[in-house]
Amino acid sequence: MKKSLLLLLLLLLVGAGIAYKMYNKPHADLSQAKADVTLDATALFTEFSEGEEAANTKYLNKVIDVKGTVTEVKAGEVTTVALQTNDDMGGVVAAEISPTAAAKAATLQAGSSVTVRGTCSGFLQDVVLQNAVIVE
Amino acid sequence: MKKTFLAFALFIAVMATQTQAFAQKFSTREGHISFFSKSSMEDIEANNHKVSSVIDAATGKMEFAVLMKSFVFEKALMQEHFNENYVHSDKFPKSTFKGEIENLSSVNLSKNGTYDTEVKGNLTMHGVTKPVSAKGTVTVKDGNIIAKSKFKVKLADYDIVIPAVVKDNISETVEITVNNKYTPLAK
Repeated sequence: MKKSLLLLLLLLLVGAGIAYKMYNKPHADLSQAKADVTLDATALFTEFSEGEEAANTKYLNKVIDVKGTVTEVKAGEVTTVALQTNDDMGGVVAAEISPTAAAKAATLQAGSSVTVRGTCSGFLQDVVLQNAVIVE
Repeated sequence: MKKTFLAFALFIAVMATQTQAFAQKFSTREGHISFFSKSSMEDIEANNHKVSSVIDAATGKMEFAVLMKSFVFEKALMQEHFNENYVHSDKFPKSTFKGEIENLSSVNLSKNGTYDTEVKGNLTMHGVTKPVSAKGTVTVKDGNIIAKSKFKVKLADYDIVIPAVVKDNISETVEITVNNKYTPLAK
């Protein structure tokens, strides 16, 4: 009787521990992740601007490695790295940088080539990536 | 004669710049919208720094487009639940607001200053469109506009269902805060 009670208590504690860990789990560290897709900024932007619904189905939630030329790095409450596309209206691939990669992103120079890895949120005037990191 | 001509030319030039300001559109792609839920169990906050918005100074029209997946929560699990179980962002990736500044005549978008605004329009979220009215301020500074507002949204109005098991963790009504900095849209 005592043994099974102890076992139950142990299971409950383990369960609580797991739940606590899950509740407090941090955002994924994409520097440790493998990209679902790799392509360049212009190609990604073109897919969204020419067929948003199809692009959404293909890219939403996916981890994408986007290669491109930095047009701008905006720092503030969040850091955003903009990658050049061939859009006449100045649309870019806008990667919102994860706080863990912000310091590295801030050193990027406009005009430099870079690969950014982020999770695709969708398309407004730009293609937006979240939780992004700079890939070596 | 020359003096009159110069004065007239100056007058035209000044008027042209005035008209320019009134015909101006202002936009942002990095607008900030956050929402806040307060309940007995916990406070939940999420921030979206990728809001796309345009203000047409001539008509007072304001439009916002927001990607739901760009709302960042402190807790990754909460962000997952928000997207997968509450707002179903795979199915409804965008929320939009189309409206206008109702009291445009008392807001001078070409003159530095802070003006109280009343904005009315339609908010489309989770596939549902509902009218929304919000008070806020518009601050004009050196050709840029900062628009701020706070208003409440009832989740059930947009068919966003809170499961009974977390009923005490999430408020039925969330407070939305807008803080956007607009720059003139190049013609």
